[in-house]
Amino acid sequence: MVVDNLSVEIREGEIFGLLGPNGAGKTTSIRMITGLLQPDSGEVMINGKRATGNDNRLNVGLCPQELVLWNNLTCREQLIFIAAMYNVRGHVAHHRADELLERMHLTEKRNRLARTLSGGMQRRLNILMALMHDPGIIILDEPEAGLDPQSRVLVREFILSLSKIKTVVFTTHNMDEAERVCDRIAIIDSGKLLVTGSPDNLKKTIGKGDVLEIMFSGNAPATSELAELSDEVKIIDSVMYFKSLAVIDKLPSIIEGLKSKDIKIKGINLRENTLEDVFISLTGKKLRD
Amino acid sequence: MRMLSVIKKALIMQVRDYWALLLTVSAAPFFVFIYYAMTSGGSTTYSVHCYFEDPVKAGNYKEQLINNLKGVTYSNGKNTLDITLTEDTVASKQLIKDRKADVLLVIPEGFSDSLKSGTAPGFLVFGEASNPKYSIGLIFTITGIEALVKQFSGKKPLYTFREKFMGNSEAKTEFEVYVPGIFVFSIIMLILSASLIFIRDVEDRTMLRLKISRMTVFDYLLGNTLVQWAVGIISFAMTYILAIMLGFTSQGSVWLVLLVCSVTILSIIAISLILVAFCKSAGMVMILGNFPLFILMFFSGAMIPLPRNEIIAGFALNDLLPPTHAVVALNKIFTYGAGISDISYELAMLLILTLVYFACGIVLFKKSHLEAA
Ligand SMILES: Nc1ncnc2c1ncn2[C@@H]1O[C@H](COP(=O)(O)OP(=O)(O)OP(=O)(O)O)[C@@H](O)[C@H]1O
Ligand SMILES: [Mg+2]
Repeated sequence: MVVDNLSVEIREGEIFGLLGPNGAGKTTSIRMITGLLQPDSGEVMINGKRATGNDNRLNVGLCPQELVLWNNLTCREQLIFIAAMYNVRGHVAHHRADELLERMHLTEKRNRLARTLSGGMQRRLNILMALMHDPGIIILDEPEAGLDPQSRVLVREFILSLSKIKTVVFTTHNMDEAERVCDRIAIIDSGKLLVTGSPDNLKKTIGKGDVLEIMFSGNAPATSELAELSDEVKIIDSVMYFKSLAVIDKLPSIIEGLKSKDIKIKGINLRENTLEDVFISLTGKKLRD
Repeated sequence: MRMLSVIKKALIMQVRDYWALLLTVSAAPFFVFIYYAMTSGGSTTYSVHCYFEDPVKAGNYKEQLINNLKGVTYSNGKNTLDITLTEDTVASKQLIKDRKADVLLVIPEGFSDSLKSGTAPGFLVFGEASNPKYSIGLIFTITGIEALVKQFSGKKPLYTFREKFMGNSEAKTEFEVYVPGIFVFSIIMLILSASLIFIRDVEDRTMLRLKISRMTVFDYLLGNTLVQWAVGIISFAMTYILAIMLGFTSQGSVWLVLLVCSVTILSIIAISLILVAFCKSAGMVMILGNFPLFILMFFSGAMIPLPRNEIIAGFALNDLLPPTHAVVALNKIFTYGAGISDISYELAMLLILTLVYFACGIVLFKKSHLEAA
């Protein structure tokens, strides 16, 4: 089973992030929402109606994780053609295509064949393909993958600009991105929903407080041996994560404790907690690499 | 109109895929040209080598025989036989092996004596039975010899016969005999561009877009079929016009020809659809595509005449290939000036096959590409 017992509610006009590591089941979930895949049980409701037929799915715009472009059409041609696939034609289509190309900084490339664009430009065009029929719900599967920092900012701002006007669902395994953009997020792992909520709320309720990272060398001690030192301790590879409110006050006693256990400290890092830490608290593993 | 958008897109993509388009459209005209150059627009002649063992110059029968052989002509006055006098039968036999000569006629000693005395003169013929030109060349050779015997013996012939060639078949040049096959070939070539245009869309994941948009597979297939139909008509028209410029004549109506071709084109598009259903990429189409291409070229009688082996009465295996019926129908139109009622059987078969292939094509295509999207 790839996705099991996943139930989320996405509100109109919000930007909703679906977070999870590779293979978590994000794409699979999206394929079910868009009707490309039938769930064995359960259903997708859009605006309170079951999304079984094609009709309310037409209000959805999908940007798949992989590039789905017509290699031998120009940027503008394919936007116009995909608009026609949704019965959007003439002035409206032309005007919208030009506007969207402008917003994604692709105006210069509008008459170039898709296959002659750089990978990042293709990804930006891929996103625009979801918007030509002006859907109320936009679903983006890893929109920021394969983009350089500049384009990432462009796409992020683009998504933010859709806020309130559209309902946006997007997947990512980039926690920073999600934190910055999303009104609410759902974290899934191995096909299971771990938690939903706003990033701030999650950070407050799960693994609250600050995070002390201690890089060490030598054999890792059992987590239970360290439990007395802080509210929450996790060891991943050669880094210990101590999580606690006002963790800085506990620093001396932690260092003392480690010394007594003959653990060599190689570096210390103190920071506010992030969604990444929420994920670590929930799964005991890191999301990145 | 969604259909117009599909057509427009298909046209753009077809033009951008210009190598496939060029190959599809120009292969058959190019073949027409090559055939023309090879036959130089003349009628078929049969090369006969004559060797005289009989030294007797009885009433110069030798010259008379040669003249009689040379006198065998088509009704348009063109020579049927190309006569060579040879002194070296070994060399002549080698030429027959090389298919540069068709018949070696040996006049033995005593031939002239028999002629004079009125007893049946004998002669010897060498040839290769598997060379189709041999048997026809032999018939014409015997016609020439019979004329000679008749002159010498003065006897009444045992029989007389007259050949009546059907349609305009006799007046045809060798070029005209071969060209109808190339017309059908020009349509078969469509399998290239049609399957490529479909597979490119599969590669570009158009099926995914179809599934989530308002556009249906029907819109998509119909629009693309129309464009490929136009490509097929262009390919055929170019071939046909070039052939006419080079001397090809048809007894029948051009519209009927176009009707037959149109249906044949549709059947080829349907076969392309089946082909694409079994392929994942353009590269695979280029490899697997040779299979239907060669089957259609060789087993439909388009390029080479075929034995007809009927499995059940009236039905041979190659009747399953739409071009088989197109070849017969076109031949009837070109040679006999057939009307629509004369080719109703072929047209009906073409239509039925086209429908069946299309049905299979759509089902297979949907199964392998749409469901997987
Ligand atoms: N067509 C398929 N058939 C069978 N299993 C599949 C199929 N597609 C995906 N899976 C499996 O389902 C699981 C979830 O895959 P999914 O693509 O939804 O992950 P994801 O969260 O989108 O990951 P990523 O971040 O890598 O895109 C994986 O274990 C994958 O192997
Ligand atoms: Mg994915």
